[in-house]
Amino acid sequence: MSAARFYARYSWFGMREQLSDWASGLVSYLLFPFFLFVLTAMWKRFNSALGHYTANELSAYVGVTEILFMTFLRSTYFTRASGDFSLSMARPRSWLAMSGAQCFGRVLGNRLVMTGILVPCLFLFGNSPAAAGGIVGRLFVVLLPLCVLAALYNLAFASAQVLWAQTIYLSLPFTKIFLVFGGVFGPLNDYSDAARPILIALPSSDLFFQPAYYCVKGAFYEMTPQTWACRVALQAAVLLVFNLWFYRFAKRHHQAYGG
Amino acid sequence: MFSFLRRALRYHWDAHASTPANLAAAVVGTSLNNVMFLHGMWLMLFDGKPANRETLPYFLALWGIAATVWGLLNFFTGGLLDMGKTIEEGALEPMLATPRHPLWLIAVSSSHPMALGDILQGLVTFVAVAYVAPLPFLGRAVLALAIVYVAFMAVFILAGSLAFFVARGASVGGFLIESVLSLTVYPSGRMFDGRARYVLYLTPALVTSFLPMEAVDSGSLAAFAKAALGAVVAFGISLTVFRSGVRRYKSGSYVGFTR
Repeated sequence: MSAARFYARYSWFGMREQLSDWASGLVSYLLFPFFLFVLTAMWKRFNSALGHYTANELSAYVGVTEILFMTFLRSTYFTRASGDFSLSMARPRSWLAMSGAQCFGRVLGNRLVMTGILVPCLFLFGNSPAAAGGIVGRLFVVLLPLCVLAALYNLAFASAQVLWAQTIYLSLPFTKIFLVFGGVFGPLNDYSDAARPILIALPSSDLFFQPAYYCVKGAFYEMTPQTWACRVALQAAVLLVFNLWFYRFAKRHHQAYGG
Repeated sequence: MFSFLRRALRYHWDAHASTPANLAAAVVGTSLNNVMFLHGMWLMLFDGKPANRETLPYFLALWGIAATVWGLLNFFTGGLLDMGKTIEEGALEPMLATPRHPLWLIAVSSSHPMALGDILQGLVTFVAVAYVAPLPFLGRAVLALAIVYVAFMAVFILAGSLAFFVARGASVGGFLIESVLSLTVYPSGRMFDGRARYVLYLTPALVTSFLPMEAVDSGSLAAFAKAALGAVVAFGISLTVFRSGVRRYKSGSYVGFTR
């Protein structure tokens, strides 16, 4: 119980750390409305004829996916966690749990700030207060499990970074897999008949497309909430096993650079 | 000047080549990242959407130009990308004490191995342009490379110089570069019309994307002259801003930790 309290507090510190330096954070947060503006304009110009979304809905969809994507797998999260690895050898606490708790807190903190920015953006793009309230409310329903998944993905990269310094170069293409196949560029149900079923079946759609679709439309796309929850839980379980195995492997083969 | 550049490049290359695993991971990682991005844009904008196909040559040419220029700039004069940080961390001071131009020293102070992946991607994209567009269009796109190179260099210098004038200028500069790059690689010239288009004319993307692509599209000499003039004026402005920044630069204490 005391261990759980410790990790919860550690996570809380991680979250507060994200909120501590507003001036630095502000610049990165400015990119969020910028991407919202650009991606909405791109969809309006090229895909609005498909008729699956109104312009208001699409701006909300882009907003939610950008919140989830811009905080998903950041090199700052996992390089810091892997940097603490040598020190953790001398600590009684688990590095895996500490880094996981910290990543979770940081992701959650960032996402909460960006949700705060999303609200005025939703009004700016013509969403009514009731619609905006519904979108943000539904986002809070799915936010915690998605933060757990994001923390587990970060943790996997942190363990890999401990072993191979080159991991950082591969994080960019890895995040692009989620950007492209997860529906961050645009809603997956706007994609062609050939690509759509494959992309929706991929795990990446559970992280971005399905939650954003749920926030905008109030239901998951061709999926019940239970199915989505099961898919997310399965993904988390696989990542957890993978992380445990990877951590043990990293611990066995780790070489500290010295002081 | 060129022998100095050649020597600087040789030292950078020796450093990159001394860790082949890092170099390979950087090049492969960037190439994969770019391929993913292009594939994502294809799925979202063109796959199964014949109405959008007329934009394909425009988009490929735009991407080819942006990737090649970004790669060349960051490989040969990679220090410009980190200019804000160089100024903020006090690394500019030793450069001011040498007879060479500080901007030149900043430019050659760094070379990013990931940029090789961008150059590769740009060249491959030009081959793709040759398949989907007539040869004169490809020729015009290749010509536009020089214009966009100068325009991007201006953006880098301007963004980096912000560190002279505002607190956290490196972050603000990073935001500026990121925004201009996004406006350049998305087909903004075809996305916006009406008032939004005029607003975008006020951004640096005017010289990095709109004017050069107008020249590539129309093929008129006047459009090329307009694009070239825009790039040269932007470069002149950035040099003036840099010069006035150096003039008002106050040396920070070099005593203490900067990293």
